[in-house]
Amino acid sequence: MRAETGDGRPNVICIAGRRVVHVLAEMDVRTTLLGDPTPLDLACVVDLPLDVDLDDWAATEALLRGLHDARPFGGVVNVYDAHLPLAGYLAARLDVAGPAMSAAMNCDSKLRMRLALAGGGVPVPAHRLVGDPEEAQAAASRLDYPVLVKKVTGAGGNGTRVCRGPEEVAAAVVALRTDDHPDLLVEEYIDGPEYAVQTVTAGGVTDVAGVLAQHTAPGARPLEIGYDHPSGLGPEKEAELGGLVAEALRVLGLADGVAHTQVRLGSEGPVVVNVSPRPPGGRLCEVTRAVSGVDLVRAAVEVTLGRPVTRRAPVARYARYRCLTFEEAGAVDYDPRALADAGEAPAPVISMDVEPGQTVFPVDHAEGGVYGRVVVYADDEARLVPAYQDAMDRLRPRVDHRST
Amino acid sequence: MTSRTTTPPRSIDLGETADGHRLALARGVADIDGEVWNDIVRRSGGTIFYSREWLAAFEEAPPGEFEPAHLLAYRGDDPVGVCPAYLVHHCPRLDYAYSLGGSASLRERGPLLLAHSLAALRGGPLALPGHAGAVQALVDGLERAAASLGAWAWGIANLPADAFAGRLMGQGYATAHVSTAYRIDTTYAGPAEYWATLPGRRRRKLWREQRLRAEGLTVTESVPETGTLVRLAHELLAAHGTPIEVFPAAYLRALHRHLRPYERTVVAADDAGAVAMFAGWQFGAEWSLWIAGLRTADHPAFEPYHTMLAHTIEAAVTTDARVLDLGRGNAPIKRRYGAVGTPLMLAVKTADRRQDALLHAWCRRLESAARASADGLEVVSRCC
Repeated sequence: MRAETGDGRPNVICIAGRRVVHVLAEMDVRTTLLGDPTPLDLACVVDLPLDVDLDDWAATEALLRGLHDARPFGGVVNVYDAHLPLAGYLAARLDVAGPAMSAAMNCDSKLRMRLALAGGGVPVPAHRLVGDPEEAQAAASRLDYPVLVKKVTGAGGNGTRVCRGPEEVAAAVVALRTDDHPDLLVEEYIDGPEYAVQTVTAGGVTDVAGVLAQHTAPGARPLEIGYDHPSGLGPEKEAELGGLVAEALRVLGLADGVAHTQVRLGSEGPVVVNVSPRPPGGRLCEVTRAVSGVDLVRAAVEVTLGRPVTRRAPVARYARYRCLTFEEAGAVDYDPRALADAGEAPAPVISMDVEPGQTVFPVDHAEGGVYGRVVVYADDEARLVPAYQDAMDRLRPRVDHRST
Repeated sequence: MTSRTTTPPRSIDLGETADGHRLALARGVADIDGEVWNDIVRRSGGTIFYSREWLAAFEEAPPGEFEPAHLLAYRGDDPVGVCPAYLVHHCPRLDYAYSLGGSASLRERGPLLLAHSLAALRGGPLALPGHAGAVQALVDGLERAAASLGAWAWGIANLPADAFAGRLMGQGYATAHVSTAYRIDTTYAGPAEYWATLPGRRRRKLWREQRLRAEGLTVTESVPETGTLVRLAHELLAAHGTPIEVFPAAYLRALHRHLRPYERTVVAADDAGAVAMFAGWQFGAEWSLWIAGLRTADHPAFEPYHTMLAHTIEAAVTTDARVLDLGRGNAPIKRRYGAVGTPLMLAVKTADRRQDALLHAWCRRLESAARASADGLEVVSRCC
């Protein structure tokens, strides 16, 4: 579906998102940006910034309906998990292109996602919904250790714990449960390598833009800490994973859009562990663009506008992407002269989220996480690891634990 | 409030599905062969809430305004699946769900076809073994019946969160986890084997609770007078601030009378008579406890609860019940006895994308609100 404005430009609603706003501007799309509030710098880029209460769907719809009647929107673009249900709601209520509401809801809850996938015959981890530590321990015993305890919504690495015994399960429930979200999932731990599959789906047909080997932190909080391209699976196995992901997207009702799907290869075959119907976070979009030629943010817009997806020539055959984490708490130090975040691939990316002297924590600490990212590219596999090592040697990240 | 069911005409032919199932719509229990219906329910693992007797009681004294719209699926001339349903004009529980989900205006859109009642502990299509296709045929039948009856939406209440619920999610149904029913597998050789499954420390604490809280009371499985059942149920509802209209007296009396052949009610009594009860029924191998009652003036904290629960579990273990459904609410205590929660979903749909979005928005808010209450929707309709 395409709605053109009086000035000939397509007209879309965009819910938050920094990069997507710039892509929309590059594509000369008339953009109404919803924010709560809209950041000033983005408000200057878009055609119409609207400060709305993103939790008040009816009021947001009423406001947009007035605009839609005057100048019809062609679609709703969204790249954040948190706003996906609202994007689906607005697209459906205005009857324009955008994420399918049911698919948005199926992906908004881990329980709903697992039920829908299992109902469609797609393998998912065995799981149980629990409400307290005792129930979680009973569920874990039935599933057998280790297990994952995770939030039903907004899980990710921060909302998930790997538990190897009943005490860890009880502690995870206490740590993750909130009054607003009292239910948690206790889930089978699929032991095996994990892969991130990036896809673009248009009219129900899914193309795989990239398959990357994914690395997760080995401790209690399974944060995503790295990716490699090629995945090491080989074309046949990658095609098999792509087929499984396409089926998963079909079952969830994702007929149009971009998705980032994580699949684990367990002893009994591939298991879909998560589907995020939006471009991936971190630097994965850049990596995917470099190795496949597909800009997933641009592709999300193109699919919404009903345009063919642009695929450029890849600029690198190999990519190594590592997140910087620390094994102990302390004051971080590194060489700021090594930072490199402005170039286009295959130029390396070396970025830090903390300034020298700031406190960092290990991944398993409640305040711990990822503090920086290094991405390097090469056309020759033999040069990839040395390139990464060179970047790390220049950055020299370290922690002074005595300062904690 | 006036309650009514419309006098049903004869069954309506809803045509054939693509996979060759013939669908029929029965506008009341008078239009169904009770023996055939109950046989399908029993053989397909259905519970008391699907039985013809339950439906007859609901039709006789409905807790709201409902038109029966039960579906049958046939393969050739043989009935192979059933799906009890009602065209809901007014239902206090549904109104509460609309309001809890911030969508009270949805009621103004007209009647909704629901399979079958938020009051039941289970809902949705049932099919005989070997006829799994009839389940989807009956789902298709709900859509056809909704169009035929002028319902603005159709759906299923209290659908267990399993692969079938997942299939509906994949088909675009809006869903909300509205409550959780707690069930215990009672296929133990004897009570000792059941108690041995609980951690020793917890077991000893539960036994102590049972001893301390039931002094002077006798717990038995018996059939209370209907007036006693209604009085105890209403006293407990009132004590929890639950409107009695969700369990009107006429409705409870009708259920008690129609379901007498299946009754398994546990009563705690003192010298003055019944103090507390768990009203329930066993259909096939499943014993479902549905509503609790209490003489609240003497036992405001439901002191006999532990003793009655232990008695019920042991009675289930020592008889032919294979599953004990303890119903909704009181989750922490039920979990301590080893009961496993089964999330129950509400799944609803329309034929229009824009209206579906309203249902999804409602379900999202409803689930969020229900989640904030330990008993889900049971915050106003307390059961066992």
